[in-house]
Amino acid sequence: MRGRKLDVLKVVAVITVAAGVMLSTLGSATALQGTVCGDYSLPKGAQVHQLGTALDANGSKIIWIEYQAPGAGGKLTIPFDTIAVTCADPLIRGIVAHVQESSREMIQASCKFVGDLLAGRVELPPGKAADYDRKYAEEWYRTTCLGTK
Amino acid sequence: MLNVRIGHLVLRFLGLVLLAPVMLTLAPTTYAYHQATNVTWPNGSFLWLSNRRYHNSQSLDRPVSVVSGKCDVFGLWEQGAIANARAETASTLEVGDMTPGYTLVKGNCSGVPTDADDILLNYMDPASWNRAYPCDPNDPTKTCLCDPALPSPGNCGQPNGGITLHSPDPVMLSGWCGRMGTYSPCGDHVVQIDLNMYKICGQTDPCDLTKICGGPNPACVVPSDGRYDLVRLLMHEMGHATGLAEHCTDAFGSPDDSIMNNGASIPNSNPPQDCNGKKWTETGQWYSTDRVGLFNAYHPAYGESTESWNAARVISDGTDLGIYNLTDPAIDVSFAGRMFIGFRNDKVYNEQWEMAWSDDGVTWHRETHGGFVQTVNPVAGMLAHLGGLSIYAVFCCNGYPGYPSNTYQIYRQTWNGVWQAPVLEYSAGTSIVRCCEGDYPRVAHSRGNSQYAIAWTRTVSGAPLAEFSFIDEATGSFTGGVEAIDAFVVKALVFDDTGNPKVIYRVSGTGTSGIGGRRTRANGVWQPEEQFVIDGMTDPDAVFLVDGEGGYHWSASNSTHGDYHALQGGNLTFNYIKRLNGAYFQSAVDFGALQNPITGNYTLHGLAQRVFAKQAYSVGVVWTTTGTASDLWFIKRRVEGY
Repeated sequence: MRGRKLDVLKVVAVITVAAGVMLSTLGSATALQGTVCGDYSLPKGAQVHQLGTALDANGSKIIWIEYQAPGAGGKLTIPFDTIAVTCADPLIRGIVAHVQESSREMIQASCKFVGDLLAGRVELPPGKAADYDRKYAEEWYRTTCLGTK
Repeated sequence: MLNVRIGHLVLRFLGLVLLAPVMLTLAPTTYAYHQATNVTWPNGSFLWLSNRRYHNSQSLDRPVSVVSGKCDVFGLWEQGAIANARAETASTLEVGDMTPGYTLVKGNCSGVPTDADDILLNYMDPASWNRAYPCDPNDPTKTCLCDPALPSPGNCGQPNGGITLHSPDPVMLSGWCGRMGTYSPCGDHVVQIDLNMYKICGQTDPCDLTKICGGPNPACVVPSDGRYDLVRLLMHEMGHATGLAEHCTDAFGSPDDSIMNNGASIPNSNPPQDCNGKKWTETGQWYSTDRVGLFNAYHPAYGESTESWNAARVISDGTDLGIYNLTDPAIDVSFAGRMFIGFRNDKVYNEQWEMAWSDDGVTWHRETHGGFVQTVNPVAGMLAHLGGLSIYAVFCCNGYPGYPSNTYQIYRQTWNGVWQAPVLEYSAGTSIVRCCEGDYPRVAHSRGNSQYAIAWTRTVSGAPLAEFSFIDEATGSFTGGVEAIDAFVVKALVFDDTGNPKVIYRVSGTGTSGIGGRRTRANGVWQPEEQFVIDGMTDPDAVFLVDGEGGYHWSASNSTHGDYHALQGGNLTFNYIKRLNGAYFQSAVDFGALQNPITGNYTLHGLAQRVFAKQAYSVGVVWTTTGTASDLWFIKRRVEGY
């Protein structure tokens, strides 16, 4: 049956568990407890239909994304405290930022981190810097943290 | 001798059961073919709140309020979607007890949801949509919605007209759940439907409303004439909001029409992975499979079967808890779905009734009883009401120094998070000593939790006098005055299918033989006695009667339309009987062989005298003893037909 087939195909997305890290700090006493985005991506041609936040089995808050894609459909889950600008996939980055819009705490935390990142006070873990879209980060910081001017 | 007698009675009962009409195959209670959304229960949907309540009538159920950010522009399409969804789900076969169907109502137009709202229609301009749901126009495999010929940058985001965003936040919502009269988590609040204005406006920016069919414009046509069917989109997304996933198959997995057909075209898929021929414009209504999905969303199975029981240990004897001399434990379920089990602690001076509660039936919290003194009373009535839980116990007749003689007193103690001080609810003369033995107050509430009541018997001039009072739903106190019924000893109190209170008593005979009587209060008047045969235990009231007499280890829970569920205990191997639509089914249940088995030797048990709200469980409690140590166990089983 279709429903069961979808269950089986659910986990096709490339999911690498994101690591909760204490981001390294350069020249600053401030540090942010956050999660750098894992190597998430959706299959080519994926279409998103539903998403939301929930608690996982460990009681941790997550973002889930339900999608359809050629040969596979399923659900991708991401830690809720993921710093959106560190996500390489533009769609996942946009969704994470969108879902976090209603969380003042998450916006404050992300603004702090992205501000430090742009100013060079913190740096991304090895291997993540290549995926980092500085232009997006600047735009996101300007519109979200500084307001529109 | 007793065993022989019981065995004989069982055989007699079984004989009647076999003679009764038997439905050989039960309809499946869950339909595997409709895939509910991938939302994790119990964090899934705003309808969760309703899910904890019996969904029988409009008055008892909470409507689903839809708030819009642009109803000044799109209001007529929104109203059309709401009206269609309601009309195409109400009073249909597939939605069963959910006769009002999908009870959508139009909320405010501020775009700012309140506590009372459930769905937010969030209209997003192209820039917002593209920022939240971007798409790379240079990726040929992605179905971006880009049109460079248009004057604006165009929408180059995900091609959907809408995406449903579920936002359950148990931490944030805990206060909201409380205000809704239930515990947290209790579902989405609110579900946000993001709407791609560029798409729904027929790919125009600024929006050209003439590019949308229906509503104030000429009706939509099939096949589409190029205008966008916004009503159909809203109906689809509201289906997501209530817990439905994309869907377009029948019970056998074959393509079938559905409002949950997303119309998606998956490029380069082989075999083609569109949903039943991408029939978007052709399927602008709720179909049978959608209604079944709606029913299932309201009736999550949690992986449980109606054919199996679950058990969990509630409490065990310890240094401060002794239930080895316990009498009948009690159980009830509140309007919000919280489960309570009452028991008497024999290790506390003068014995006290205590209580344990659980929201999931697995983890139980013990609440010691504080200053409530309970003595010489073998049993107490326990009733979960909107305000919490109350235990009603009788004090009487020289049973304890300092208490007045020849007086029948009913005390209430209420737990609403903490135990409140005892309250004397009733006091009147009685002519026998130790009047309360076997005559403890019986309590009950109606299936919809709209009525609560208590009935008891005191002795006047040597004759029994049955009395009755309604109970206030918020406080647990008596309300409306005490009514004298007649000269009999109340053994059970239930609310019948029409919501009328009914008292049950014995007219003649003993045990599972003889004649029973019942009196029903209709239109404010106690109706004449009706008699029924106890023999064979085929009348549901016979089980309630024998249960109330504490005999033969019978217990029962009523459901509706004369259906009921009963357990006859015996060293953990129970005889389970259910009556559905007049047909009887019975089977042996070994509680010692469950996945989480009950251990020890069976002593007593009880069932809640009603099903568990809309989730429809028979819940009960089993008391076992091993040597001098005792345990109380919670048992539950899903009930068919809900």
